[in-house]
Amino acid sequence: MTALHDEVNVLVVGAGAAGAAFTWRLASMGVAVTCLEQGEWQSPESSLTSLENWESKRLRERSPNPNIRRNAADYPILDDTSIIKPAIFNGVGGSTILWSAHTPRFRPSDFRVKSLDGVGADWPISYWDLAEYYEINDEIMGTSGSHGDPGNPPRTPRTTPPVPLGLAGSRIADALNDLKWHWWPSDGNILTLDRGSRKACNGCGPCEMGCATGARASVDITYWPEALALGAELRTGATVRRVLVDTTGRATGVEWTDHAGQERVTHAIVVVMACNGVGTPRILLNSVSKEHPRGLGNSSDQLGRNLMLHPIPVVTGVFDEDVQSWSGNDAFALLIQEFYENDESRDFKRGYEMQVTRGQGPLVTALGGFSHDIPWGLGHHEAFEKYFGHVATVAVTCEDLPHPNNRVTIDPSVTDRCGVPAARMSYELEENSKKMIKHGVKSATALLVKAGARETHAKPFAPSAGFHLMGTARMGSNPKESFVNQACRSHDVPNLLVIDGSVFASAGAVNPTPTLQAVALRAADLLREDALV
Amino acid sequence: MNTLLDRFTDDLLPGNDHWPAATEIEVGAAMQHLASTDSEQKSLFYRLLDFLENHKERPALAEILEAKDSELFGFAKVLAFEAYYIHPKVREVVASRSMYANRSPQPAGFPVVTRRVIPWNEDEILWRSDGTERSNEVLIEQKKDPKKTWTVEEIRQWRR
Ligand SMILES: Cc1cc2nc3c(=O)[nH]c(=O)nc-3n(C[C@H](O)[C@H](O)[C@H](O)COP(=O)(O)OP(=O)(O)OC[C@H]3O[C@@H](n4cnc5c(N)ncnc54)[C@H](O)[C@@H]3O)c2cc1C
Ligand code: SF4
Repeated sequence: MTALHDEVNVLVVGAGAAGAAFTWRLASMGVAVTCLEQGEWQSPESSLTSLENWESKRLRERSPNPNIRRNAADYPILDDTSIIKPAIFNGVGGSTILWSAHTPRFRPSDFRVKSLDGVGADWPISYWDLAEYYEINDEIMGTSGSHGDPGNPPRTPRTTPPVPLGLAGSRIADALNDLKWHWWPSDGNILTLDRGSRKACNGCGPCEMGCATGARASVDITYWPEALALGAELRTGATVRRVLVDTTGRATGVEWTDHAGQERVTHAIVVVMACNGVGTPRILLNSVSKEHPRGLGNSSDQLGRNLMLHPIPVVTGVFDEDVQSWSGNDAFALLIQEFYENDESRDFKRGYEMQVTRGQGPLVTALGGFSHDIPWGLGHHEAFEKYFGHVATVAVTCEDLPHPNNRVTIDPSVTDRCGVPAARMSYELEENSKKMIKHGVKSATALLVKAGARETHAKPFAPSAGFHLMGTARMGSNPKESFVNQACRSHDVPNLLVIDGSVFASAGAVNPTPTLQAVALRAADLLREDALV
Repeated sequence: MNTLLDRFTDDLLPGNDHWPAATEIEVGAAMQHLASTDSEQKSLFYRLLDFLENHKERPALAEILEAKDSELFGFAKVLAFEAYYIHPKVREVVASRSMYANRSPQPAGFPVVTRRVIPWNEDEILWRSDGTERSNEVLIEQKKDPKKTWTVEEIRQWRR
């Protein structure tokens, strides 16, 4: 088949959280920008939460695991070598279609873990470089919360008040006050008041299936409409197979397949990768050439390495009171950062955050929820009644340290619909993580008991929680130890950028999306400032 | 429907005064329907039927499957629970035995019953300096007035 050729200015690959923010920012400065996205637009109805059998859909076509969901746009991610399984979405909006929208920020120390605590790697930028971009992102996404958290640097007043604590959340907040553990109402990209066409959250629960009201932001309803109105171009059903380079080592564009199976080549002045911490290294590792035999821009051999996922131990508390745990947005109401910073008296480095989750319907509860076990057989219904509506789960987000053997590689023995090799995730828990997990489980258990839980059940990590994908093309000043520089530009290929979570040099212990969006916005400004486009 | 599958599903989900047994709401047939949408699930489902056929003389089918093939058991349990808990009759029982409403989450949503709790620490600044001058400056200013309302313009000044 003869490939069709065309030419654009800036070419972004991936229309998820990072790609959308970057495209919007460039478009707002009048730069011509085109984005290729392998998936399609999603409608609000696609959340499926209005169906009677909605919970069944959650296990199937709305599963966050692409290997279970197997939509047309999903590519295989081989995960038998990873104890944590991938959770992503492929379509306009990327994984924000399924995310829970909990949006805490990195703290200043997260950017300097090597200098301060002697582990991992420092970023070549600081919190202060990103602060302004966090604000821009909060405004566009729409952020509920309460400013004035003394646990973090100052920020502006939030778009709407915080989400309600709920019955379990209020009990836990009381317990935190008794324990004198620092907490604060969480920031989240969930509106608690109407804003334009987006309605206030009505507490329906399963945000991870998509939000029918538009209360929960996803970039298809925030950044993308604005970016398109500013003249950006978005092509869907466009699966990028590899990035092309010329003999001088510059990227010249990408090779891709459209939804009709037609092969295409789009030439560009700048190529920007935003396919997430698995998708980006997959395409770059597949972009081998004589000049780049280990994958594009990979002279450092860092591409795909240092995969950080945040191991998330979970502890569920069971209360006598019916705390109606099926109501309220599913993943957050309060942010608990008592154990966030490094503490030399502990047997591990760095720290963790705790968040309180809810929103589980009958089926998920019957299947054991996050961490309790419900017997089958004679005792089943009695146990179900004891748990359903009566539980709250504390999820402990542990900082992950970069390790070269935790990585993404490609495996040509399995391919996607366009013949692109599958990604393989290899990931094991490190000693430091294991110790941190132990500490986190102990703290979460103590908290739930203080809040009045009659019994608690713990799991050392949630195996399905592979949604924070970081580190696989990391940022650094030393080209031998990192893939991109402080402007997100490849050390080896000057007109190739990576702007998603792949560039994280450290993982922090918070959900990564506002940080990766701030990084993407900043990268757009720097590209413009350097007059590259 | 397959009587062996009925026996198996009633082992998993027996009824009582409030809850229907799996066979009362034909969980076996619903499992077959759910599995038919996907070739991998379909073949696992047929493996399940084969297993049950090969062990039909034994009394406790679910217990044997769990002991002999935990993976297949896991698949069958999830499928049976899925078929059971999405059934209208079971949803009615769930609603009558809890505070849950018998409807899908949308379009009406669920009211979130809540209470206001104020964090105990509203003033003591807890974040750690990254060692930069900027960190120290901001810390000093935030300590002076923890409740100050900051503007984007002020925050923009922090950039290097
Ligand atoms: C269930 C779930 C819950 C989550 N909860 C939270 C949360 O509460 N808070 C938080 O901060 N984060 C959360 N996340 C993570 C968050 O969604 C991601 O951090 C964020 O979306 C990553 O942004 P990204 O742009 O890097 O990648 P994505 O948003 O994943 O977008 C990547 C896009 O690239 C496209 N793409 C990939 N390969 C190709 C190709 N070859 N050609 C063309 N297009 C391609 C994909 O189709 C996809 O649309 C959650 C994720 C999930 C799945
Ligand atoms: S709980 Fe609120 S934010 Fe979450 S899906 Fe329902 S309406 Fe949307």
